[in-house]
Amino acid sequence: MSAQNSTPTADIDRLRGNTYSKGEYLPFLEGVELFEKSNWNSDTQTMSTPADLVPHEFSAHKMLNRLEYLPPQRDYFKVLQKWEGYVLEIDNEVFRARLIPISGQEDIQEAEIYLSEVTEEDRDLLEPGAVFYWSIGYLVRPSGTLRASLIRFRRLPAWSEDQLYKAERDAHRWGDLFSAE
Amino acid sequence: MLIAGGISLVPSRKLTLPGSDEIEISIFGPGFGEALAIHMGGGQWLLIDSCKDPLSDLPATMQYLLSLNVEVNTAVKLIVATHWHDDHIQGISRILNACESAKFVVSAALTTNEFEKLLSLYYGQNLFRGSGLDEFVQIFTILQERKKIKARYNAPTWAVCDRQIYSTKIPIDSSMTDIDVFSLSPSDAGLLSSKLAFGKMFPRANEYPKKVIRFLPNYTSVVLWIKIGSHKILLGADLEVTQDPNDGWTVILDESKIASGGASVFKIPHHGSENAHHDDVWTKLLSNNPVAVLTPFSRGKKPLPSTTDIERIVGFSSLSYATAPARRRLNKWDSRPVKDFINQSTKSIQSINKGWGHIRLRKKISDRTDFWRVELFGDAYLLT
Repeated sequence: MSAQNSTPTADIDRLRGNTYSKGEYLPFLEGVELFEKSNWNSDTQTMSTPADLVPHEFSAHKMLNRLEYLPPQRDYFKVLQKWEGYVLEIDNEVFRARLIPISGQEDIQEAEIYLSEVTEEDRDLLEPGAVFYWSIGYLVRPSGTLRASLIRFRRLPAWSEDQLYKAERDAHRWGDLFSAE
Repeated sequence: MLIAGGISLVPSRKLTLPGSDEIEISIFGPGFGEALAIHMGGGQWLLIDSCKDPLSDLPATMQYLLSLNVEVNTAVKLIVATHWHDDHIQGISRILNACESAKFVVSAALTTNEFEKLLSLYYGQNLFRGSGLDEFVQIFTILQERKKIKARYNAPTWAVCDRQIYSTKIPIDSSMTDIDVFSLSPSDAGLLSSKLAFGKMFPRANEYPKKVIRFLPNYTSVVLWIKIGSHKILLGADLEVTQDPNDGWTVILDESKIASGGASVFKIPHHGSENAHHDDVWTKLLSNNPVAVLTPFSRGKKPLPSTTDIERIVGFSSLSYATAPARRRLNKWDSRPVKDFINQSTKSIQSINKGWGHIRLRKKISDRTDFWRVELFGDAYLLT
């Protein structure tokens, strides 16, 4: 996140030379960073910003962690390796899948993945041809960072009668291409 | 610099074009995929199937022809998609896009109403990347655009047993040489089997969309028989031997009026697998000790060719080559968490796109012997 470049000048003007109390919510600050040169007063639990504040003095988390008037930081996932996979076949304890890299190491892989890695909610989607995403990385939370691996199956809307009807109705278009007329 | 179909390359100084009076058969294959480029003589090229160079991600045959400084939009006369499996058609829509004057040939199985319904369903959906069906949707789009400009439209041809799909004559040594390309498959029984299989793939209402994955055995593959002057070439695609005598290699052996024997080059079908092998193909359709070439298949439960397959093939020809070994490699993971989770979550994991090779055969059309000059590039090797 880089607030130096993205924070509108108007918002900086609104902050210059003001004092803010702990717990105060500034909607225009959501998702941006606070000022390195801002002064935190631990006795009064207030933060004051200098009148000559300039955009490049925005900095990250020092103040965010002390001031609580911003909405809490969201959890996020820092990806080390991510694949789009699809199921080739299912055996007793594993399913065989092809893994096409989205990030990380770039080789296409073929893997036998333990069925126990699939969550209960996704079990009904596990069948040959089903598409899933497998992400390995760090789950970053305000309370700490965890190593994590997550397999989630893609949920697309089921085929409708209408889609299947249209496919049957328009199927001749491919055949029409074999005629020069 | 040559630019074709959005692909630009600087021609290589190391590669030399085949002479106008020379035949060239080039087969490309990584651990996964297969493509052939054939110079039929007179500057005319035939491209069969497509796979991608793992480094450049470009269609291998296009990359090769552009490196040779070939004007692909006029020199490529025929593009054949032997079947729809993704290891044979990755990037073929880019080839079609670049080779504007080429005729496109597909298995007649892909003109059945059942396949058309599948194409129609997935057209414009952009649901899944990298399936063979996706590539056909791209082809469909290109052909549809071209048909709007009727004057330039070259309608595709479908391949069936014993059908002539290309014919021309070129001047060699002050006389005219015939060039003929025939499809030997699919048979009528193969077409019927394909219709049934494609029909089963069409989803029912309320089913979740899935990636369309391959089905076996392969009924739809297009085997080609090429005659250039006195030379005969048999390209086996992925056709297998089936229990039905009216299908697969058996019906070609029993009923083809075209495949008359004496082919001196054989593209071994289906990566050398046992279920694509028929003794009579070697004894009845090929010359003694032909040059035999194959590409490996490094994915699936059992990589192909197996050691047994190689022993069998070498028993029929000591001039048998593969574009790369059928090995798979264990990965080295840079990140410890990735390595740990993979070890914990998988019984096995292997990289499938390793290896890259090119086998090139050349000879003068006027040379009536069965001798071919063989050059091996990359991981290609002689089977022993």
